[in-house]
Amino acid sequence: MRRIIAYILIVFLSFLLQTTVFQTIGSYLSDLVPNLLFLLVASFGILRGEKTGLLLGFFSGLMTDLVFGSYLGFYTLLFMFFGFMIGILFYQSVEPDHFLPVFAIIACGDLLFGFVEYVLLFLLRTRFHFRFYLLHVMIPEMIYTVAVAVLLYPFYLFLDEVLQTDESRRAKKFV
Amino acid sequence: MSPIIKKTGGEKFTLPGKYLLFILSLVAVALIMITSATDIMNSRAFTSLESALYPFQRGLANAGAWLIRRKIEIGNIRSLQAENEELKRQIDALTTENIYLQQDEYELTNLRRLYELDAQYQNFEKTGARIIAKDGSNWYQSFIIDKGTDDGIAVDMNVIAGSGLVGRVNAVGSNWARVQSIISDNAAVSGTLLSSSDNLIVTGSLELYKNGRIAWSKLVDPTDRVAIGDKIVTSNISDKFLPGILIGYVSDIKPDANNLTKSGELIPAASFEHLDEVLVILTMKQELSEESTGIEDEEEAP
Repeated sequence: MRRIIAYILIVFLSFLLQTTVFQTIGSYLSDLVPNLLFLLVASFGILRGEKTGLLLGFFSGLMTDLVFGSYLGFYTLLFMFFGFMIGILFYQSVEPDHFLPVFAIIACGDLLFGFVEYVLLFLLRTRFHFRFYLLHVMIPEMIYTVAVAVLLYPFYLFLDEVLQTDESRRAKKFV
Repeated sequence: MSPIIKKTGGEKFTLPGKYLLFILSLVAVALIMITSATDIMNSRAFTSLESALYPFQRGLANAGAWLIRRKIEIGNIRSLQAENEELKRQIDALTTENIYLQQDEYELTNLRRLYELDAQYQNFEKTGARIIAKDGSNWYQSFIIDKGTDDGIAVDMNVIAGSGLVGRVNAVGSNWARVQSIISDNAAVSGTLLSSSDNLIVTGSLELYKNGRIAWSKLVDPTDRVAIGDKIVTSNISDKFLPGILIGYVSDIKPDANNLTKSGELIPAASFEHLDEVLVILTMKQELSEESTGIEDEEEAP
């Protein structure tokens, strides 16, 4: 229960920060923002597995679609699949407290996420200049996301540990 | 997707992840189909959902703006800032008025009849609004402003900042509205070249906007009347945008491969980089065209 409340709070906060404070800061960084929601979904995919990843992805995406989409479901699907795939591939196969591989996963994941966005939102509308979008949107976004991950991922890790010790303590109490 | 990974880590639900993924994917696909085929996104239930986010966005937007302001203007007295903002708003209003006056003058010398119609544009009722959130993705540019139906804002109202067109309201709730800006890659506006009254299409472009420009195209101009620096305004054939709002200035001209039309780039008149406050024009094109046809009928009667 506490975990669910924590998740709701983080999704909420990530979304709000991404659309407000980071936008203001981003207007000084060639108008780009780090993808906090992706960072959140990927982090908990690695920490807690595919189911947590996909549920967090579902709700993060739904929130994005609700506020900024002209129809619901696009980002819902995208975030959900990324959360699921990262969970399936990397949960329990990478050490969550070995930061370098985790950041590599987040970097590659965000780049792939940007690529899928490009294909679905731009390539399908005959915007063929891939190199430009790669150099001016996808890679800078990846760098920002990883830079923020350096600060936020340890916090997520810490939060997960706190919740886990809390849960195991409560479980013991009941036994 | 191997069946080995079915560990649930002691979570409450025991449905394996892949089934959950399948079910939620179906839900998401159903949502896409329902919301893109119907108008349900603009219904009251949906817009009020987003209204719940409004106080947080507003608060955080203010916090973000505060941080930046502190960074730039350390040592500035608060009252000076307030005064400055007030003056800026006045300048915006005056610049807009000035642009319209200039246009009026142009129209007066060239098209006396149109002048009478155009003279009313400066009298459009406008309301100022603050931007409180922007699209979280780095691909499209739309933003949320802090006024909604409570302040008389409706879908399709035009939004300007400074002297130029910014965009159009495309969703509205009780205390918020979403504005799609003209620089967004998925936006297009029907425009007119002020010097020759030829129509063209202005399309937002992420690629060009990185250099502070957007694209225009489909201009039929066999006599080469278009020149760099010409003003592009919204056209009178658009059904969403009011005619005669300044979009920008031509900065590049290229003949198309078909040899019939031209395309190129323009510098938008509104500065989108540090957009903070915008003006929403409360008059809509639909109302205006109804009004003006009414007037014409009266004129033609005698």
